[in-house]
Amino acid sequence: MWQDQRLVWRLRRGKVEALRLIYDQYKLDLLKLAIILTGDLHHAEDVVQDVFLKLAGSYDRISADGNLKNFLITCLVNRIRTLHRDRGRQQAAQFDRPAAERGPASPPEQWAIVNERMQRLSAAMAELPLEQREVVTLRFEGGMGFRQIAGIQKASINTVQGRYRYGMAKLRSLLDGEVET
Amino acid sequence: VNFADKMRRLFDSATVQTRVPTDEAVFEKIRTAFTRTVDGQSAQGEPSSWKFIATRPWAKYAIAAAVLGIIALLPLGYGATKLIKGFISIRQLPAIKPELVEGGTLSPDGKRFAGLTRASELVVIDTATGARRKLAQNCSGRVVWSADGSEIAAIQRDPQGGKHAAIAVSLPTGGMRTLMEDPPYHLQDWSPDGKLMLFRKSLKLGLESVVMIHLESKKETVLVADTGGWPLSARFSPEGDLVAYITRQGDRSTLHLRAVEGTRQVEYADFPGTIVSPQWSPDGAYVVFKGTQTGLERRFTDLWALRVHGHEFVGAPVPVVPDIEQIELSNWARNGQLACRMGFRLGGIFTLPVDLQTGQATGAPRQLVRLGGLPRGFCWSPDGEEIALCQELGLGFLSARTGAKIRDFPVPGIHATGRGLSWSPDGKFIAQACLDPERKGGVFLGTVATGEVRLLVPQEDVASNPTWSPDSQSLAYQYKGDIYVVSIADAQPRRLTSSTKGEGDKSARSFSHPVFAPDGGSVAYIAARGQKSDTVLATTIDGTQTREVFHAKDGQSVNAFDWSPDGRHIVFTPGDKEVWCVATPGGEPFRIADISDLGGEAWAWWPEWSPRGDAVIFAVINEKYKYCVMEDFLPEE
Repeated sequence: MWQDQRLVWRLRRGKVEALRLIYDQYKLDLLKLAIILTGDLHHAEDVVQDVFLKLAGSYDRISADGNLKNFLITCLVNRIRTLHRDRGRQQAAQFDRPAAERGPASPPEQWAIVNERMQRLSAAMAELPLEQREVVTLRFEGGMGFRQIAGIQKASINTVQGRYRYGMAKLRSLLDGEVET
Repeated sequence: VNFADKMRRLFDSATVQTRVPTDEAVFEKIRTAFTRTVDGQSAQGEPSSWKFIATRPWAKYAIAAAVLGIIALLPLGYGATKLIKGFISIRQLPAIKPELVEGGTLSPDGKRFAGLTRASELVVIDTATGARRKLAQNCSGRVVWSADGSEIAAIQRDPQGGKHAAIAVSLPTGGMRTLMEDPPYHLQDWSPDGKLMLFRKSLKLGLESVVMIHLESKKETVLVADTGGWPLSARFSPEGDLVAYITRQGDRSTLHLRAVEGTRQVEYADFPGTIVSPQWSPDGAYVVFKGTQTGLERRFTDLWALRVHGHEFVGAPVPVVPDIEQIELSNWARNGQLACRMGFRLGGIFTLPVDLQTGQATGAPRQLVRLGGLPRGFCWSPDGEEIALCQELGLGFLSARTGAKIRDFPVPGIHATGRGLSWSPDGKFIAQACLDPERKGGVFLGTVATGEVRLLVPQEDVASNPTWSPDSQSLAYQYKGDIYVVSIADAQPRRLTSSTKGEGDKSARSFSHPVFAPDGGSVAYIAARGQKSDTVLATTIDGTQTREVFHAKDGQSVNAFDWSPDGRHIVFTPGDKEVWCVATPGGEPFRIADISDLGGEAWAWWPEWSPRGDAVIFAVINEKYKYCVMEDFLPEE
């Protein structure tokens, strides 16, 4: 925690190297969260870039004694909600599109490379409503307690726990046979 | 272990990596936004600017738009200046027509292109005028130029079924000489001094090695003992003292650099994906290759360059041309042009409505799903609602009505051979001809409800076209030119046919594409003699009686067929743009679908009659290629 505070302190003074360290430290965590929460790699990449751009654009308003990770996760979750609200759910990618349909050649643009487990996990999570997805993901991946999640979701702990139970029940029906014991 | 623990493990094992080039571009974008914000905060002390903006609200939007515009353009600018050289030249060779098959190469001076036609003729084409000259017949595989461009080497088959040979044809005289008799079939490269050749050597289906052979002494040096089922390539350096080649282990590849004398060997194994098609730059300073990394929804294939100095790799590879998935690298000529074939193999599954009573089409063929290439195998679900489709990592299930993807059926570690798929009529199993992780072939059974996969019939080689009996108790399949039947209960295969290997190709007899008759009493299959396959026979399950179901006339072939659910018709593809139907026994065949409007290179294959009898699905392949040269893409020194 003190390391994060030191980074934020330096960031507030306009130090690019602090931004770099924060970026290197949190990009993968945020990408993973975003992929699971959006179920769409391209949206996830956009969201994480937006979060870092927001950090870059409001660096002087971050509390130096706050929790940087929670700040970034909260930004991420809010951004995904906005995306979700504005665009609705992204249609499932067209199955196995031929290479010819992928448009003209462009510089390397995909940022994230995921493994097969991630594909399975994000596919299963996409079956949950966003609120349940948030709770399950923040619990397992964000390492947050229900109280913290309730704060992010602006909901009661009981509501959050209910969402967790429903989400896990649905995942059990989807994944129990697949998840290795 | 409770479910929460399982989920925790799944979360832990789900990983994300970032592509380094894009990673840097993303951070550059963020850094720029940050420094601009910092600079803007520092400039707040300039009241005139802020007053201007404060009194003119549109100015804020204009500034925001400008900043967003700069941010949006940054990755392109980054790629253009730091990663991708700005002026890659990709130029088409219009004189080289696409009827050449894969394996053509450019002469060292870039003035001629040598390749094979679909009729197996070795031809050389002037890249400026298109003038074509036939040099040899019955050739196959890759064509390789001598270092001075005076000769062209290829593998020539004996049409009478005798031994084949590696030949070299002189360009000035047209004279032919034999470099080696009975070499491995897949020629890869020819050393600049003309003494060595590199080959891919087929040991059996699914097992290949890469070897270097001294043409005089016939001494064979094994570079890769087992390619793992991947078509790996190897290339001599321009000086001829080194060989670059690739090995592959699962989803990772290793690029090797080996001294021809065998004294030194180094490798590069850190590429986060797979590598194919290594090519030496004419000065020997770089090896470029196609590198593929897997994303969530698609793969990314780029051209990468790795510096070579002495007998060592230097540094890490850098991307030099992005998104070259549709480009096949041919060779890098000494004039600096990297020859390639651009285009794609467009595949798809079409559906055709038919009348079960008459076998006639009741509508036009309609594309159900488009694919990136040849379907590796597909079949109907027993209820006719879904279509199972072979994918690289298992099976996919599509809606038979819309083609929309319904779900995946991952089969990790099993390598589909593209040789058939069949769903049991009781809906419980899907049979597939595959290779397992140890590349042992056989007929595998996947349990639809659980995803469990087991090897039913292990074999040395790979079986083809498994098909279920109507009672779901037996399978028929094709193996080494014969038809076998196996009971699920005892897994003991029994051979129904007796193939023969005659003196030459013409008298050889083989059997393929088994299909159970709807009553389950017999298995129908295609009988071929030599290269001609025009007869469908049916043999009773006990093997005692065989009858002719259909014999094509007027030179027509049967390359795949299926029986209607009521057994009154068979639908077949003759190997071109048409789908035909015929009443059995003794009916006159009639055409029910034609895909000529898709283009000259399109062809239809593998018809499957729906369980309800109201539709036939079939695969369609369409190839679109052009030949090009790429120049000036290596990074600045």
